[in-house]
Amino acid sequence: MNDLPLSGVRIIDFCWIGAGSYTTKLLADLGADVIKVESSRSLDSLRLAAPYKDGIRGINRSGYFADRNSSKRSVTVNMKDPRGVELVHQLIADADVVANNFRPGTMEKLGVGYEALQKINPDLIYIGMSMNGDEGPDRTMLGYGITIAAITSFLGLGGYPDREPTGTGTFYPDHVPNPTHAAFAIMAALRHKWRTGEGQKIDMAQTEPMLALMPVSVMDYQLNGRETKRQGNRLEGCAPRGVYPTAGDDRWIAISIASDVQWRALTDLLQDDRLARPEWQQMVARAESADEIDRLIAEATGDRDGYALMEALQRRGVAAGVVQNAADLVDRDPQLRHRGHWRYLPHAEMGDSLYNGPPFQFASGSVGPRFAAPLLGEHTYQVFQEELGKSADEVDLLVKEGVLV
Amino acid sequence: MMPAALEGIRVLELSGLYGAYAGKLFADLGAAVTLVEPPEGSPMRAKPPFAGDRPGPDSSMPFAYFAANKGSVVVNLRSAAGLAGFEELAANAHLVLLSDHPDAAAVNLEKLRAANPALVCVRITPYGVDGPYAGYVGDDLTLMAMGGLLTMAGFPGEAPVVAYGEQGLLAADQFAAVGALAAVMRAERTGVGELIDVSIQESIVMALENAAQTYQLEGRVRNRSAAPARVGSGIFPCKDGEIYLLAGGVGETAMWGNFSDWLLSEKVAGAEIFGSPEWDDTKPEARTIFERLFLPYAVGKTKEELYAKGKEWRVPVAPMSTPSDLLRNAQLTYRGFFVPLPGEGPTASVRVPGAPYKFSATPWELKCPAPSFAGSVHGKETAA
Repeated sequence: MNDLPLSGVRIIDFCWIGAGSYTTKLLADLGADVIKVESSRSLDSLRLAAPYKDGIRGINRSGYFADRNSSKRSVTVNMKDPRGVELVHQLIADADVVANNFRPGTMEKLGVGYEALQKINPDLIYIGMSMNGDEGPDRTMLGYGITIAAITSFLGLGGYPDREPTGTGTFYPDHVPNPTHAAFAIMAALRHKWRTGEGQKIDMAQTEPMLALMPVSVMDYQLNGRETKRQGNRLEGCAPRGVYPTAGDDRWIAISIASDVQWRALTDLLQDDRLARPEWQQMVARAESADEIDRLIAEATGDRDGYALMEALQRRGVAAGVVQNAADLVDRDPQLRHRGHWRYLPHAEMGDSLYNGPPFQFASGSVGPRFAAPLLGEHTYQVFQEELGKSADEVDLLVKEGVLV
Repeated sequence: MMPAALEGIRVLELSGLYGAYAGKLFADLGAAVTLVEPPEGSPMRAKPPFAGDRPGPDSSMPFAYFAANKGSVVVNLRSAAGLAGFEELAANAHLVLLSDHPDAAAVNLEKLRAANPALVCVRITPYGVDGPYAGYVGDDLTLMAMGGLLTMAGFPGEAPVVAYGEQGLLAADQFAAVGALAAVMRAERTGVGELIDVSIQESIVMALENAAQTYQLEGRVRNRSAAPARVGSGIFPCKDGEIYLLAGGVGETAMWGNFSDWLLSEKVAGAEIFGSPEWDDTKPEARTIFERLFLPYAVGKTKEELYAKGKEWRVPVAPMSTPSDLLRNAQLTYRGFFVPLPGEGPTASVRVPGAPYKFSATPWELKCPAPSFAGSVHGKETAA
């Protein structure tokens, strides 16, 4: 058990809602002891975000919260009470990392700003993940995944050229760019601490990892004077590249043709004479006729079974993939099943509930969610007794007096 | 002078059209990342767009960005001598990142690990190295389809439409880097390396928000029609473009109350209704009322003005930025986010995204440009 990559690392976690909690979950799943500091007085709003077990709303029933908080312990602390702050300071004195995704200034108001904590733990690694970062004219702006997608241009560049932008239909920056970048940064700082003994502060603006993943549009603007526009499912270098209907209700297949050989494979399979124009043997000509080709392919695929078509195209070396939904992925996808992607972990209120395993598999053994998300305050007694040497009676009293709540 | 956070980590990157961002995350924090290129050059050198729209080995914008801070060696892995040379490099490395390098099949990761037990090897493939889809090919679009993100993007009843910027491939790079660094840090402590198998499909599955749990717990399948924007949320026109307003549907009452106060402060006629007890955003006429009151106000203000008001009134709102807006964005400018590419050549001094995080002790740093192909061929290793 001691050989997980981050075994022995302790993180005091003030993160809530989306990207922050996902960050510390990645680290917890890699073995870090993440103690999530919560309060019944001011709930992590993800605890009250659908879906719920059996559709019944409850602070320990959200599947969204659960997936973002696997392998963590939860303590409840009233940070408005100085005794609560003092107890948290004692936990932080021995910790490696303190993480938060509040707006700048909030941690200071709670008594857990970087400067205050440095006095308690000079080698501490401290990460803040606000929307715009700790400095600058817009540092206090309230941000969510979707407004971050908007301001970074990610939302505006996703969709059909002649229609309103559609982005991903999700709060994408919360789910990949920000958690992975923050987790990478925290680990890099841990390595530095292990080598030199030095802690540090990390300021991650949640706009900036998203922007780091889309360099080309700003470069193209400067180098070629072009303002990137939405281009639907098309991509330079591939033609055709699109999403086409297949048999069934709202069933689609994505097909991407990157060479003339692949185009011949596709047309051989679809057997539609209208696609057999000699000039379309060339990528450039296909790109020029993309609208017409898309229409003809859609007519040819509409009656076919998507999975059978995918398999036939893949046998010919053509990139094709069924547009899968959550039911396909959870119940049927043979590849995810083979890899054991979905994990069912026992939880006191939710029963066996569904978690993502990590997309990276270690040959030496399983990494990923170790145990289900905590009930609110599930580990309050355990943490304050074991880590700070309080007796059960002392913790009881602190609960009664509204400190550890 | 403190060492960089990842100083001393030697990385060999065998990438193609994906994998490079994983190497970049290491390189930008001080690891020595060497791109192992085939004799014809990395496939990303041929990826458009190009500076001046003139293709050439050193003018690809993606290559200029994703290969910055890296060195390069040209190795013919199809020849026995080339492969032996690469294996020698790997014997002295800490991390091998292998993705869609044209000669990926020639690389035997188990053999590398046998020769160097502390080595961490990461293999990024569309679906993982074994299983029923292991032989399947994929690009960003088809993997976003199979990974389940595509079905949520677009308009109900119409073909889904993929996110900008091949984010599915990049998702795998990001998760690969997380797993790789964790394993490298353990190898440094224990002397025991790791073999890591990253699936791009599975990396995309990580981005499904609450869709999988919504299906498991409530039996509902999220698709493009599952989450229509609440009244008061969505994209709205303004004087010089569009904004995204998130007044309805988040944190329920607080944002909406702030929004109502904002419009009242601007003396928008009729805005009293938003704060009144009768307001019910689930009523069919609510959207019409909202638009009748808000749109005339919004079209009189610029993106920046509305963003400033949102900041003042604590309402989440954001400009729908264009790429050129980003280069002028006051906050990003203040933080010095965009930085010029160093060096010479067709992409020199163009401003690119800089540090995605600011470290107080071990800062992110862009030290050298992407390796020139000529330099790689003749000098074997171009950059430190």
